Amino acid sequence: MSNIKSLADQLKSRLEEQKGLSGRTFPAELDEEKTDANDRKAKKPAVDTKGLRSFLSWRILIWMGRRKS
Amino acid sequence: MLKFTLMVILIGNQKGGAGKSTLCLLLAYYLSMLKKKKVTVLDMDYQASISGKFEKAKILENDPIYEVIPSDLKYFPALLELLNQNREEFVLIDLPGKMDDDLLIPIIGSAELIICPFNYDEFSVDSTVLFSLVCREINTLSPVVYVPNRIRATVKYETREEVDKVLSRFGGISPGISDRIDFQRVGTIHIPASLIPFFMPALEFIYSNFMRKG
Repeated sequence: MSNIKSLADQLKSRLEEQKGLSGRTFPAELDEEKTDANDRKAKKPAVDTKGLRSFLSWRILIWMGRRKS
Repeated sequence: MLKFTLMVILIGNQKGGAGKSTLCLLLAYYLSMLKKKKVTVLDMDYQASISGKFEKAKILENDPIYEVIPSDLKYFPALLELLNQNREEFVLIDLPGKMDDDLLIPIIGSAELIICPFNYDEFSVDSTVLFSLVCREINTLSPVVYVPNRIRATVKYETREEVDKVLSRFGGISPGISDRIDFQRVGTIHIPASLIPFFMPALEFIYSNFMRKG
């Protein structure tokens, strides 16, 4: 095998290792930043349910009030 | 006072179809026609597309505006020796899209600038990072500049920012070149004028930041 090919293969496997088991496209140095971005995404719900919950709780209270009366 | 000597510029990427040959033609045209520099292109790509166009153009069109030498990798030291006798010249080398031959080592080692066109897709980015790592092992001194190529206005490149961040650890990133069908008509003499606004920002960036002016 040629030296440059074996160098490229070594660097490729090192790069694959750095990417980790997640199979990401980018070297490991970016993993942390990507994780942060994912965390931020996880903390923020995809759909804002606050308004929906509030609406439903009011509907339930009204419904319960009507049942009692 | 130091005299301007030969400047060897590589255009390479391990990924085939990244736009190496087209970028080489554009740069050769830009340097010779617009900057009035002496240019020689060494076509070392196995596909030899530049020398094919050059030979065809010599038959059909006017005198060539720069020299194109098709060459096997093994003749590089002799060619460099020969070209070194000329002063004030840019030697552009269109590299093959493979890193499988030790004859590439002296070529990468002798480069003063490495230009790497790439596309924002997963395979191209992987190959570009790998190409950069190999080049950095062989040639620690010369700058690398990345040229985002085939940029489509209708596509939202979600990874673009991250890719740019990764590549900026190896070198500079030029303005991108749009994906235009007219780039297929780029030759060794004629370049469609309509393309000039699309490739000029990238080449101006490279010229002003990375090339010796003499």
